[in-house]
Amino acid sequence: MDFNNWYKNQIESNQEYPPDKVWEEIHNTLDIDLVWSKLDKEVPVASSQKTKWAIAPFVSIAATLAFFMVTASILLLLNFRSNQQSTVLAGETEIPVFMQSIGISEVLTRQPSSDLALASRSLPGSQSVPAAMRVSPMTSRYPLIATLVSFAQPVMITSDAVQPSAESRLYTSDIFSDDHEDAITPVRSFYVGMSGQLANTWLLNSKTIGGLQMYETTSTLASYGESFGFIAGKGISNRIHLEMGLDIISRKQQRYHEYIHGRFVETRLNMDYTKLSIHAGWNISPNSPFSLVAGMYSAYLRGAEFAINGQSNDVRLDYRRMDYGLLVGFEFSRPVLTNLQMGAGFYSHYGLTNIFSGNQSIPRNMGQTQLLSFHAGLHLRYHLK
Amino acid sequence: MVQKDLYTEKEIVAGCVKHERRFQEILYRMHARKMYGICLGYAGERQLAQDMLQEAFIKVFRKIDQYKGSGSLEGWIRKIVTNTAIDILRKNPVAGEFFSDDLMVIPDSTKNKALSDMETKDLLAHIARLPEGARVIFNLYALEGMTHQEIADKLNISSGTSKSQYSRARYLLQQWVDEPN
Repeated sequence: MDFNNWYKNQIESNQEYPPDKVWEEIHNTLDIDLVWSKLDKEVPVASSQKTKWAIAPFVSIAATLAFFMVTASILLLLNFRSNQQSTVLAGETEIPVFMQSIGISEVLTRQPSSDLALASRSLPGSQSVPAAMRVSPMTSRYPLIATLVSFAQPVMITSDAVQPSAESRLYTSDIFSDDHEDAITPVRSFYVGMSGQLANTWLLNSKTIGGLQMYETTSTLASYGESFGFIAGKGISNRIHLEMGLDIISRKQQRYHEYIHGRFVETRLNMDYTKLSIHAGWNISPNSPFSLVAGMYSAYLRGAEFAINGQSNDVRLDYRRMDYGLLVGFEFSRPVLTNLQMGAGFYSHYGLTNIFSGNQSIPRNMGQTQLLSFHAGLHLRYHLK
Repeated sequence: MVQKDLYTEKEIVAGCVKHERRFQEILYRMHARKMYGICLGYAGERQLAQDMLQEAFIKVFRKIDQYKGSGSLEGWIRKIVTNTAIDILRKNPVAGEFFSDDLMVIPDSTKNKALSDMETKDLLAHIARLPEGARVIFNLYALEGMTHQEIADKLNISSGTSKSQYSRARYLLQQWVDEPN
């Protein structure tokens, strides 16, 4: 046999099979190929959708703020309409309904009309304010403005003949004092109530922030969580009150649209907290329904789960039990019934601690995560006598 | 174990075009042993041959949609394996190593000796002793049936170099094979 043929036969009739690791390596490489080919196809599509996803979180913040604005406006409008329908005339003066609701109309109607007068403010060193507040053509045309004006202009009720009753003192504690600014607000009383909030929540970490970049395949989605709890507070001066809140339920959430194992999936981290907060509220002007609030909170993590396309895993051990931080906000609050106030607020909570405790894959310092949330909520406050 | 006999070659190729893993594995199992032998012939050692085989089959699966069915599938795969083997040897720092010119020119032997079957490891040991450049030329000539001009064009050498390197490689390999253990 020719040597070349012999050699060729020897080589081609090789009985030695390549080890399995060769096929495994081929298999792995082809898997990676599949991922890249999917990326080539899907990333352009994802990029086109990215714009929508990228603005979604910011839209959600705006939506939360808009929710607060709408709620506050509705309350203002309802208040104004009630003012128009239920006025108590004293001479030519109209008394807004919220004054009635807190007992002032009762005080007024119990007294002989001749004894009552809505007097010009004639405090020493202050300017006179016209006594009669009438609904002008302008205010009837612009009810919200009118309402704001009526809130912003405190009405002084004075009577030489009438001494304040115990009841009227409860709600108009400072009517006859030098500080007449709080005549219609039940200050310095203790109150309890409840609050409910819808929060646009953010887990501030590299993944969330990276998901806002246009070139990343991971997209950060708008995420919401609800809160519900009880409040208790007390006015400590004519313009300042302190309030404590216990949110039995306080949910935080962060959602993503991620590329995992060759396909896009929705992932979500849900965190259930119980939150204790304390804040001080400061009325932006005397008798204004609006106030600024600032304070702090501490939250206890009751549970955490990470879900991929609806399938969830318990990740509570990856996160620290306690979180604490600061809160600031803006509130609107008005009486709706005797002793009862209703209000709306917009708040921001910012966690000061790294809530990530680390896991087998990521050490704590590499997964630095802080909580940020924007809350829009409603509250009811019942003033105890 | 994959059931390669259940499918025709056309079905297997169609499955590979769709990146279906089971058809890829069937194709690999069908040709792995023979192509591994070819890689051993070029590499002279197992690890390098395995690298060549792996790289070659990755190319096969990536380019399988370019196989139009004209010519045998095995021939198409074999061409890719051979080219991959040569490419890998070119990247090797000692690739292109030839017999030096001061070695005596060995005339092409025409005598047919009684050649017996040899175990792979023994043949590998002999192949490994050849300089890589000469080994490639010998394999291209003996295994692929290429002419010296085709080899010269492929390796960018002269046909004279191809001839002389082939002759020396064949002579030495034959000597080593004939040597008693």
